[in-house]
Amino acid sequence: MKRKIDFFLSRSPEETQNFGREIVKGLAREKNVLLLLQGDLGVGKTCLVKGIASGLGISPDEVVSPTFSLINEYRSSQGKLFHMDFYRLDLWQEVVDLGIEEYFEKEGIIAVEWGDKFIDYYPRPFWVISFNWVGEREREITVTRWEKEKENS
Amino acid sequence: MSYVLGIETSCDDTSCSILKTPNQVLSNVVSTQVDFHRRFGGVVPEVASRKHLEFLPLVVDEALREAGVDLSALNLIAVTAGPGLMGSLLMGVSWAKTVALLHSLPLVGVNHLESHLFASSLENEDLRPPFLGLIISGGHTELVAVEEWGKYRILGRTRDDAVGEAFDKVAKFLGLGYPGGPVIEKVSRRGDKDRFYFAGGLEKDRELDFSFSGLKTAVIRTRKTLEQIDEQTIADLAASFQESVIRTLVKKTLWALELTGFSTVVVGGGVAANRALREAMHAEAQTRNLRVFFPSLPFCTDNAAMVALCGFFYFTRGWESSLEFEPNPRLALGELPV
Repeated sequence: MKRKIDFFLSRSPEETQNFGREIVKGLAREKNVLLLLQGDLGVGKTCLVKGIASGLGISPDEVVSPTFSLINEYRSSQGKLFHMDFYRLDLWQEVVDLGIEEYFEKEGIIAVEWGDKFIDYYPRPFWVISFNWVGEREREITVTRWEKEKENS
Repeated sequence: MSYVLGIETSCDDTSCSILKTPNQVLSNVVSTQVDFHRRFGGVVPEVASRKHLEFLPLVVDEALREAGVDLSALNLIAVTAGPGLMGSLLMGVSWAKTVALLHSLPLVGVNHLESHLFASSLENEDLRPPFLGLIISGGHTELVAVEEWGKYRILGRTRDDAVGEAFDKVAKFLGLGYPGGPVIEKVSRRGDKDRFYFAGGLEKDRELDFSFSGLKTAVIRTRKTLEQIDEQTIADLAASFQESVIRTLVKKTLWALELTGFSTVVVGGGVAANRALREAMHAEAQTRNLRVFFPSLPFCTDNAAMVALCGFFYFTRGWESSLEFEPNPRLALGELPV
């Protein structure tokens, strides 16, 4: 089941970061949060995660691309952030083999760049945050809630 | 004189090297060089820790064979302990511990970033700190003041993408393939580096941190707004991108030299293999009377020879890792595994 829950037009990287902070506020009552970030290279996925970090009291400058490391972990008194990137992965089997699957049980915010590659495999409900180019600096950001439909409904 | 076996599995490649001390590399085998894939007869995923487990015995055998050295002749094992991917590091470290235990050999866990700073010493025995270190690879972009071996001060690092990552992503976007460094370098030779101007990121005000995300986006954006895309345009985009990266790396290196008062630069990591960068740095060095060291190409990318050398250095200082030490995916420069 998909439910569109938010829509935002960002006019700059700064506004994208602000939106990341708003997301943290909006999710304050959730213990486990899984966010899949979807969009082309250069559209602002890492930028949004910098905003999420900032919302948790972590310096945005600390947040660097996890493309090579695959997972970067950050923590503050306000919570934990697991920043992942599946850009280099082609198979869900690689996610399992690398031990990344275990992270989906952890408490905190998990933000996965290129996470939509394996959209059928996640063991729990998640949000998809989609980015679209509008102009040189403008981006359209859509947030959608995804939950598996109940078997007997 | 001793024989050191080095093991490196921090990222995607499995590497093993035999070093005859002080610095004679008898062999340096990397899984990508050899046609190991065919021996499996199946598809091996690009990113997988299990892959290291399958490659390790083959790569080690090949390294010993090339060196003409028997396992029983070894005096020390050095293995990358971090930073890197946890699963991948574990494979190398577990393997090294097992061999150390079986053959009663001393073991030293090595910091991967530090080993890149040692790579130039493989071919320059007299190279000693103090110097400015520049580590540039797919996962790292760091300017480091090296007062002495083991004593490091980070002067600048990336705030978003690593420089090698920018090469890979731009290359993929331009349809040039993988790995991005060599293909962009090749295509750039027939491109006009002055056709487009791309800002290098944090280029002003003597800022020593790096930012390559905006540069990547600028190239993508420019490519999207161009109406006519032919091979020449792609070459011009690649050359202009590479020019921006080199300008930024050289500029910040010079600022860091002024700040520290050092006159020697030691470059390491996969991006150090870029010929245009090597030429630009050497040209600056000549006009300013600086010494610049680049490892030869096999020692730029991840390799076990630099791990063996770094491990041996610590061993001669009396450092040894216990068989209980754990790999650490977030090991910082200057930290040793415990």
